[in-house]
Amino acid sequence: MYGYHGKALIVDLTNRTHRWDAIGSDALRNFIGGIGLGTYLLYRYCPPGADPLGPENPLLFVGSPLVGTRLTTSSKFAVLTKSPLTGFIADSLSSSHLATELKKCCGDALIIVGRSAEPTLLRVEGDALEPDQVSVRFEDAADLVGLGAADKEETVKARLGDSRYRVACIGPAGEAQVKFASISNDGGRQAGRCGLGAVMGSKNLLALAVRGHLPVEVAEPDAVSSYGKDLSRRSLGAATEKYRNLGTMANVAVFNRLGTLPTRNFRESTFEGAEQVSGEELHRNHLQRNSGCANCTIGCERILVSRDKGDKKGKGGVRMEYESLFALGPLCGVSDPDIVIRAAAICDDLGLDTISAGATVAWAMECFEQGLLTTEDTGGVELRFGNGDALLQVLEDVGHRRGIGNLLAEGSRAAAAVVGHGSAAWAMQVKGLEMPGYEPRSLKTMALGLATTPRGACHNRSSAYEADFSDRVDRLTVDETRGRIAADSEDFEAVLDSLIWCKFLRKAFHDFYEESAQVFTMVTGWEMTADDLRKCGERITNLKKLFNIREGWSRADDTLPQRTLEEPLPTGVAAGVGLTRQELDYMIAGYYLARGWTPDGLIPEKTLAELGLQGMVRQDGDRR
Amino acid sequence: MSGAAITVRVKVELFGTPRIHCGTTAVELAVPYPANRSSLVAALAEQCPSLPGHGLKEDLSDLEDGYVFNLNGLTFLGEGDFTLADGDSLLLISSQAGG
Repeated sequence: MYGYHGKALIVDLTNRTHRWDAIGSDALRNFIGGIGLGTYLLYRYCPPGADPLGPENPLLFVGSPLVGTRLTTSSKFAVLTKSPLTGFIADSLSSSHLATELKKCCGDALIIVGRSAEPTLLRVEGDALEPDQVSVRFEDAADLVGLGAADKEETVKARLGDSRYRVACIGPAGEAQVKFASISNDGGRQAGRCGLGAVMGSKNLLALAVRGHLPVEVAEPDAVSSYGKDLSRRSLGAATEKYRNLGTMANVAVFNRLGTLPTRNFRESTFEGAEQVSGEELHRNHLQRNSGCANCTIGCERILVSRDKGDKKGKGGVRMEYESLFALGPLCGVSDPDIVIRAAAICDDLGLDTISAGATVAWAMECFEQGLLTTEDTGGVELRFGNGDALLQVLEDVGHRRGIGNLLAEGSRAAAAVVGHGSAAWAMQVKGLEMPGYEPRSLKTMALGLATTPRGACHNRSSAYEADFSDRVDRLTVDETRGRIAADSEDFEAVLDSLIWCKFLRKAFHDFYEESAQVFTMVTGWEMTADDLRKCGERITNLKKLFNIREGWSRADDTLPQRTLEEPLPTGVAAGVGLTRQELDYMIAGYYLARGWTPDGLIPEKTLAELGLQGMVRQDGDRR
Repeated sequence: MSGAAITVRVKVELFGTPRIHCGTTAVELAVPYPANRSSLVAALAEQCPSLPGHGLKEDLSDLEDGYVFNLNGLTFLGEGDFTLADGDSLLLISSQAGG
């Protein structure tokens, strides 16, 4: 078999056992890898109604056919589970060397079930002489308890004495089962969203170390090599220029000017301090170095350092992306770049998703300013917008579930349910997942994407914003075209995230589907057309939806936060622009129609049959 | 009639790489009326000689692939020509929106 191994390693932490399960070629062809294959496997291995923090909830690390090929940006893997934050599908991507070692060691996926009685390091090593043999050890990890994510990774590597091991681990937030804890790998890269780290923590699994020897073979090595050189050349062209120069931080100043920069918990969409935390300013005053993932020619990562005399965190360098920058800066009303850098460093150290962390603190800041939280609740902290020291303090509290942090560790939706008094109206989340840095009222197509994407408010699984940032649509109004645009963008992302290519490469393809289908065939030896690949994207998106339906999704879950549906924007070029519930419902109806779903958002048997999903599940929660 | 060419004054706001290379956040331009894409690019290059290759094509025929103009923060301009009025702001930004 080329490109795949046709099997997954199943590890049971409760019984301390492991086995190989076969993955059929049909599943590999239909779901490709990464997010797609992971969704398929999550269906198989997650019992309906599973407690997200219970031993029965599987934690999946999933590779792709492109991992190991050395094609640019292909060293990526997906992590999936049932989210403790949303109760629905959780899927995140991360990248770099761990992807390759996982594939060489664990086949096409590593599926971890059960719960260890004690803090554990899971060590998986392939046999150099018998690559199909794998050694799985459950090692005591008491010495790792309480260490930050980076320190954990270094400690594990030092203990194993072999730098070829690659490590994924959680920080203190994962140990404390903060509902938006992340999983860290390869020196601070994060599988960030949906609380994957909390699931890992619930299993008493503090770290995973892998090293393997399974060969990664492709069907047409010369063709792959030739194509890879051409793609690498294109990856250095104008299509990736932004990412190679400023990285995603470049969004801040542009979004501010366009009235799409969420500010002070989405009360506004422009920030008076935006220039101070803009990518251009951070590049000039705080850039330590540029970096990139393994096998990547783009190198989008910007490592920043703080320049103040405060806490040491942020001094050693922290990766800064737009999403971290917006969430820990404008969203909390903070314009001091040193504070934002230190906040991002704290999140990475604790193992917190920066988006959910920033958005949940922003919700709390608004509660404080409304008098719903007081200094008695916050331990004396004046938790107001713009108070950078308060932000830093509360992030630490969240990561350790101390004081007010214990409430905020549940995420903004659950915290609002406790605080009440209308605070749910400004809990800026969809399906429980906090909103990324795209203002839906001034990006109407993206509003639809945020409302309907299965994992919750997400800019990675729906790239509907691309239409808004173009001359294809009027981003301030709605029309009947948005449903199709949102569905197509979601399917496109599903294919991208399953093969797995980096999103920043997407404009470097002459014809994404045509080229990707050819690459799939070169790697696997299996015929695949552009239309087949499009169908894969549609199938994957529908299966995600089916998972959610099985776990209790209803039409009411496809919506946006109350604030965005009731308050027009007060500032910037989009001042006075709002988004009504009727407008959103109109777009959602168009989206369901474009997908062939019922007006209630359910998937008819006919659509399931067209996608080859009819044999998998019913939508009443029972497996067939 | 004086016979002098009619011009419109517009502002071009710079973001990202063009801003870094030009060393400023915005430039004021006087462009012939009716303005078109090529006359605007030429005027911009004259004001900011470092922009060709960093947002503008080296031959000044157009923007580089990967860049777009936005008019007054509201309207993204496609590949065709456009009409500018006195006082308009054009934003020169990357067309790669994600991140």
